[in-house]
Amino acid sequence: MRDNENAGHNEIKEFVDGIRADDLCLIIACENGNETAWSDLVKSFDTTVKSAARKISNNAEDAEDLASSIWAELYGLKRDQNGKLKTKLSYYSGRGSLAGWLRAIVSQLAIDQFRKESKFVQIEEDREFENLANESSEKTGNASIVTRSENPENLFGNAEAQKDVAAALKQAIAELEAEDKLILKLYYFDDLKLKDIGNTLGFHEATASRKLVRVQTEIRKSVEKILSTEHGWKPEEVRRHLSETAQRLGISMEKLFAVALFLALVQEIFERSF
Amino acid sequence: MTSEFDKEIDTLLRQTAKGEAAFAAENAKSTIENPQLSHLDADEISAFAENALPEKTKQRYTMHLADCSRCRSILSNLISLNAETETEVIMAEKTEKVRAVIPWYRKLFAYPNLAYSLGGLLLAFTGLIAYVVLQNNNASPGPEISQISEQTEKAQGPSFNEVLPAGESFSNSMMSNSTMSNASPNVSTTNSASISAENKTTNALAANSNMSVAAPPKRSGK
Repeated sequence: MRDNENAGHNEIKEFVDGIRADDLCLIIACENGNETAWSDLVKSFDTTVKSAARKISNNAEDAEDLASSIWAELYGLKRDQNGKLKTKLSYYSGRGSLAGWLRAIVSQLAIDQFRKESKFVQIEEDREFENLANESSEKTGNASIVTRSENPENLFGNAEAQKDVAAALKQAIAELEAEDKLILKLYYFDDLKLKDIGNTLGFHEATASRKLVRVQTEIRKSVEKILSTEHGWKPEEVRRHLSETAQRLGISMEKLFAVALFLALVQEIFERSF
Repeated sequence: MTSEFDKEIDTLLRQTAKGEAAFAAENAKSTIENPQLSHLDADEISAFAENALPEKTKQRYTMHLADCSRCRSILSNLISLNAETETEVIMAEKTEKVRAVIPWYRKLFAYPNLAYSLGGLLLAFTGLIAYVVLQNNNASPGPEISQISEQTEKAQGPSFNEVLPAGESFSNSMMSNSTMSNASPNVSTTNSASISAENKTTNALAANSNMSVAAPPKRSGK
């Protein structure tokens, strides 16, 4: 109702029919302090919580701590002004499944803990594109590719060009529509599969793939436009630089991939021999 | 308008993703500076992940998730967890279907202990049957009586065969005697009858020979 005040009867009925009544009743009973309901909740979903904690955590000890923290937060450790236990149970609305909600709580607690611990780690802001390219080239021994000429003016020019490309790329992503931006970030930043992205957003994997291709096209157009209009590049310069940068990264990536494949082959031969 | 996968932009985006931590730092700062930009809670994220929201609510959450790296990280973790759980459930269902297809006689061999137990029982049962059959064979009276008849036959000569109906051999009579206990008295009775008959014949012959010796010569004196 908050998002659609003029919701019709069918929409309201559809919403009500979609509520997980069994799960919601169990949570309400637990919230009211029903011991039998608590026993049922723990018995039915302890495995779900522990399994999610194991998959998210680095080791068994952290997983155990995380699972215990979840149950403690669900049960409630503090009391409010009325003496009632403060619990997260009241946040469950019944729209999604109870198992999914519990997994979301595990994920949320893990992310928040990680962000607290990584707050003290210095994060280099606005990491320029040429730094990434330089790291990549140093690791693969292709420093000569990055520094094509010993002319300082050329070196400076390349660095500036890479900086411009990075900024244009960032701006192009920010200008995308919300759904396109989310698809791009879930795919490239979070490494999710198109099938899972499609299931989440409500369309087929093939549709997700078409949307991704369309997003790439939009990004290219935006980057070319930004580099032309805001940085004064000529169209052929834009296309050449994009191609060269991608090629450099592609070479380094191909070399890394080839090395990884070679190591995997050696390992397999070694295991078969012994 | 190209509809092919753009490899150059794909490469650039993948490289940009490595610097996503900078984006996250920016978003974290913007969240702190703007307290009105609140995060989604676990219930909202889980409902979004399961596509269980009305369209307008979904659009609102999408706008937040597109710009909030913290909530998007929680969402991506949750999507991965849900996908893995779904895969495990599908594998469990497939295993259950495979088990249902197995015929009943193969199920017996699915559990080694059960198979061994059944095999042992089968052997024991076979042994018991064989024992019972052997016991029955040993307890049968036919063969003893046939031995006695054989001895008697040897003592009396070939007359025993004359007692038998035409065409019936000795072994057949023994087989029938072994199964029919009533036949044995008849055989012995028949044997004694033949013996008495032979005795009478022998006596008669002996008597005739004496008479022929006793009646000599009547032709003397002329």
